Amino acid sequence: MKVLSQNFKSASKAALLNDDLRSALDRAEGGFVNTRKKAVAELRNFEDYRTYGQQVKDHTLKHLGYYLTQFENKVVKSGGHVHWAGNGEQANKIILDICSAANARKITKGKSMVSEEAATNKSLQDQGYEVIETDLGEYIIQLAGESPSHIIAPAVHKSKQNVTDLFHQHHSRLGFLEKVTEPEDIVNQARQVLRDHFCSADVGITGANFLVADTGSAVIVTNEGNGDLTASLPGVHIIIASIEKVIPDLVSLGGFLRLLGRSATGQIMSVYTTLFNGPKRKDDLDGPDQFHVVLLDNGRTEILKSKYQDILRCIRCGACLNHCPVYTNIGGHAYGWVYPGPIGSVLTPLLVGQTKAMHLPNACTLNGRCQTVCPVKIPLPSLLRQHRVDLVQMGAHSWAQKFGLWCWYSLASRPKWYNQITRILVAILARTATRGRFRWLPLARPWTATRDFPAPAQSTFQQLWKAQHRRKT
Amino acid sequence: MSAREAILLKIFEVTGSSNFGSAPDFSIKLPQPDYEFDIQSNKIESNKTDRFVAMLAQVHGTCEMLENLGDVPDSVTNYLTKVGAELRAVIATDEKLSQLDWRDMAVESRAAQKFDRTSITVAFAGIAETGTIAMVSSAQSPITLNFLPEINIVVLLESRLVATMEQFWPKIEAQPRAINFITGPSKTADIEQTLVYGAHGPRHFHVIIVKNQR
Ligand code: SF4
Repeated sequence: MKVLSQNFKSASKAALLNDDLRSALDRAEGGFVNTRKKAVAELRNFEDYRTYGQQVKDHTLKHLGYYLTQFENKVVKSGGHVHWAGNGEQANKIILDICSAANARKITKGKSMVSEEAATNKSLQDQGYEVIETDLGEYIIQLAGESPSHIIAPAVHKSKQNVTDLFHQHHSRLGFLEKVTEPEDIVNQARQVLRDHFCSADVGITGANFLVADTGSAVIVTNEGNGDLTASLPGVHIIIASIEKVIPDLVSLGGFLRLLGRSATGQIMSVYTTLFNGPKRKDDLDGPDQFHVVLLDNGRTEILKSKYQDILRCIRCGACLNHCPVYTNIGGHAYGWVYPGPIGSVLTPLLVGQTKAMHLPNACTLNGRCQTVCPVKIPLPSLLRQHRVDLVQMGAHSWAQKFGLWCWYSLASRPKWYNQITRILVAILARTATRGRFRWLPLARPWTATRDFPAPAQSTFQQLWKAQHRRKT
Repeated sequence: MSAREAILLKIFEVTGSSNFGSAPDFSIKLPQPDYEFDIQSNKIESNKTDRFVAMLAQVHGTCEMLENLGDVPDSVTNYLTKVGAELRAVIATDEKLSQLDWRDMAVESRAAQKFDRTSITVAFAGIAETGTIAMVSSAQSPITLNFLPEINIVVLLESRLVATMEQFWPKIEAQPRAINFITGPSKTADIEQTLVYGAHGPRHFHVIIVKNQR
């Protein structure tokens, strides 16, 4: 996917002014936050599971080489193929080769964020393949020619009306002449259209939520069942997954499943959790003849070496997005790449370049909500702060920002000056305010454009502190 | 250097080569799930069934309890009549089903096809904790039956009910090609967060719990 993170400032401003987007986001946030809360409360020792998730992921990363090769051996033993790809381009080349060897024409796809990283759809379409996304949300944005705006609800920014129009525009040539406006009818129409594709596709490509090293299983979690139809009906099943998806064994899978559903959608268990172990067996009546797993690095080994290793624990549940005041106000597209929200603000700079995506970590308020909900306890705020430190050390900021920071530094490191100057400033502000607030202030336009700025108290905190201290002694 | 070597080499650099040969010591203990509802205790065996039924209902699945396996055809006929479906089904190529007297029903044993409306399968196990059905693929249990039809009826022997996923794993001897955990009918909330059932998979998910294998 093309990187547009450098445009974060203008894109987020535009998003804030988009009323349709704001109401779509409001609706989603409420739903996600409340259902998660309920589902988490139901499992009384959920916290123990978070600790477990953190520890198991850390353990696996520490022994990543062992677990990846164990996974590889097991897949090969069950008759599958494992391919390794250093970057997206290599992954796409592998996938293209498999498709051309299979004489494929039509390819169905389950939701895969990693394939968004690699821009796999585009590479396949450029070679003349027909590619159809089958997750309803992904299908909608594919029709719209857009990219996902949420890692588990890709079309969360689309209103019902948007979908009605899109379906009318694209499905009338298939004989669906009437506009569908109710969710049931919309879903039903998608079901009918996609059913034809499921049954006529030559290759199915899916992602994986987990790779179980001990059994060589690729695990896919969905609610619609599209992943399973994509994986089971065509003659070839290709799984594309990044290397940090590996976990040790089936018992640990049970731990992660208890975390994932609750954190992502507030479900005790998602509707479909499937373990795939290789191609069709001798007596099987269905299933693919070929089973391929593409293991993609795409920057993960670099992250493993860095101060940002903790981010590799991520299980892509989306909880940090749903609880982020920045994401829930601007939506996913403003972030300019595959991953939005807190996870995106940490990951994008690491995968596309820190200077290119420098606005992302800087947009964070460091309120810490993401960290408290993260099922694998990733210290997202600390990692975002680390990005800021790196950016300052790289000298990535504009001269105005550098000058501002220098002024602040000069003042804050000289307590006497600091006291004097703040005392004077506060006194001026307190005296010039009308009825305790300002309708306008120099350098604070973005704030005062939509609300008043409250005037400070007559004296500074330090003055009050001293005064009180004196009284006591 | 191949991509494989390059990736493994980079991992070496960080984790050290000692990790590659022998299995690491993985001793982190999975916590026991703690619910208000006590599913672990063996004192009350029926707890498992109760929890299973309650959890299934929560996800919009339906359930019926039967004494004997022989009662399944009548129960299926009633169910299909109730939801207004044809008395026709594809059934798993499993003896337990094919030996039954299907009387009023037209049944065929095979994998599912595009326009099949109803499928009947036999669960490998049920997991009480989450109201989940576990299907294990084999020549007797084609996995398309779980996903293509609109109505999926699953026969679960009560003796195959386990409390948690941890109790389920040891029941599998050799890894099958696929294990499907199914928790309710297919659904989506992609249109303005409105929950709609029957996205791509079954719209109706009906479990028949059978006490005796007769
Ligand atoms: S960082 Fe944590 S909360 Fe965010 S998507 Fe990853 S696992 Fe979920």
